[in-house]
Amino acid sequence: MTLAALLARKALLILTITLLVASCSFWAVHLLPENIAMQIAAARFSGTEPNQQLAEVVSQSYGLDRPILVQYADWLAGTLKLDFGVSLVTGRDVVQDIAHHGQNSLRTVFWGFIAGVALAVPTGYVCARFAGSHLDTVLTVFSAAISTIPSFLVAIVMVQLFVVELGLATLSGTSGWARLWVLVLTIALSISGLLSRVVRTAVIDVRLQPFMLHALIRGVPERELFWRHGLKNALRPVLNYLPVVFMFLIYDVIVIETVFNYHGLGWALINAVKALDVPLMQGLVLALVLFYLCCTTLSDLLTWRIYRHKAS
Amino acid sequence: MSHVSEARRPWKLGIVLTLLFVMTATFGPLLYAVDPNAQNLLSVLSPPGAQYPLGTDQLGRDVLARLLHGARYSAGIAIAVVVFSIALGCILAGIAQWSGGMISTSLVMFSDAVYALPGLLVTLLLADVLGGGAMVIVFLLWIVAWPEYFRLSYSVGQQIVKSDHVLASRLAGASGGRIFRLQVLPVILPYLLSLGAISVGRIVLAIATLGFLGVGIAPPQAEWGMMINDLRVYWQISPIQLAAPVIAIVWVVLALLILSQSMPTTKPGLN
Repeated sequence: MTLAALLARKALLILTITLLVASCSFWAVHLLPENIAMQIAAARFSGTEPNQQLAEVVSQSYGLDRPILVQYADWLAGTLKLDFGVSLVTGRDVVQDIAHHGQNSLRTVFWGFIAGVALAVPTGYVCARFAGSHLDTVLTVFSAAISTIPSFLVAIVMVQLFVVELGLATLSGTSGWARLWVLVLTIALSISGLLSRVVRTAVIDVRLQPFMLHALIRGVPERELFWRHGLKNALRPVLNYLPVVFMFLIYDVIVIETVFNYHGLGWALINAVKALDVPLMQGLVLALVLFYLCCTTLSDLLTWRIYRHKAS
Repeated sequence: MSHVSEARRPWKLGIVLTLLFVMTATFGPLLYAVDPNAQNLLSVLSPPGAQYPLGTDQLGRDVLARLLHGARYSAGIAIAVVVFSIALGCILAGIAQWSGGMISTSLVMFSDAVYALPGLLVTLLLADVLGGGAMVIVFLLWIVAWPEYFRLSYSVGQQIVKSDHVLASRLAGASGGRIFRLQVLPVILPYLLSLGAISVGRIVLAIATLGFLGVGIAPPQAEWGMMINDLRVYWQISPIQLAAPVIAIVWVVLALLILSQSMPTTKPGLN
């Protein structure tokens, strides 16, 4: 496949999904049996009994009284221009909120991903190198446990251990490293469980290949054998697995940020959902979906770059 | 031979653990008929004793009763989602196989697009807007779960339909339904069930996560994730009450993981 074809396919997929999510969220909100204006009024002015008058004010100020198809076309056009409107709670521009929270999230996700890979790859490699040993069994059980336990539990345990018991980190205040390292470690742990299994399987598979034995007989030193002939082949399944890792990262952003009360995209999303802040909700979900799709596209491009000579 | 016996052992363990979970979810609330929502504010966070086998939570509700009803809730939703997904996936795969051409291509593209969506996001986006509740959760988990089954049955079905023995039956005059029942279904079913076992575990986790985040599941409902979120503040006073739902979740996910790993491996290689 040529680069242009790959990019075109990816662009089509991203466009389809963006329109799918945007339409889905629009129609879910606007086809409700209950009046959306009434719900917004109830969510915004909680405390006072939502009445028809309030609902009408809301309906007029957000343009909800226009024909539904006009609203839909408006919404799609806005989405494609990355304009999601104004938050119902704060009155700020949604894009501004996304940029603000996105910075925070990007920081933890980036370092979490790096730390997770740095944790998983050596673990998986060591497991494969000494497959069947006690070390392998212990690490296998540990990573299976980590991947079985839901990430919110891992996060709670990390908070209890490092913040409450040991006092090595803070839960509030600045977003300095004194606070971030626990978050990064939690994200790293939650993605490394399954990733290290994939690395282990990939390395074992490659080491059993006939060409490795051939190279050994030909006189390649055993120390250099894997790095010269095995690495590139073992990398492929790991690269193919990356989209799943990115999916975990998105889930972690939501769950772990909520547990740590860290003001990123996930935390903002949960708060927007609870306050029924529809524009902010839709904007945040689309931002997260686009982030995920960009990550998978990058990993596909990387795969293409490494293996383009073999690509048919 | 040792390889075979090694593969057998966890298979039985997985079956036993899964059956225990299903039995608990089915008969537990019947045998231990205590109202999971009945509050007793005089014995809040009381330790396990004769009256409350697993103690009470912060509102004086029986933790054992809530655990059992939570099992029923999770199991019911998870099994419903998997059954619906298998049905929709198989039907759409059948349509794609049978009609081919444009319909097939667009169905594959559509399922790819849905498959590429992070499911939790869709659920978060729509759960509260649609009002929450068990039916809404089933629906939302269903619309993101079916593409896996579509991809699997499409790719496996394609190989079978092209094979010689299906051609032979077709020449012998067998109807489409007969070929499906006798030649496609027996091959495809183990794959679907293996994937289904993983899915049930994953859905139980997803429900717990939703409950923990407090989205889509309304508070009086007994649900494991929500129990954990409610009780985690009191972990020093009532560790057993907190440990109970944690162990329950790990149990279910582990059981289904073992079960699915000892079934034939699935290879949904759709290119």
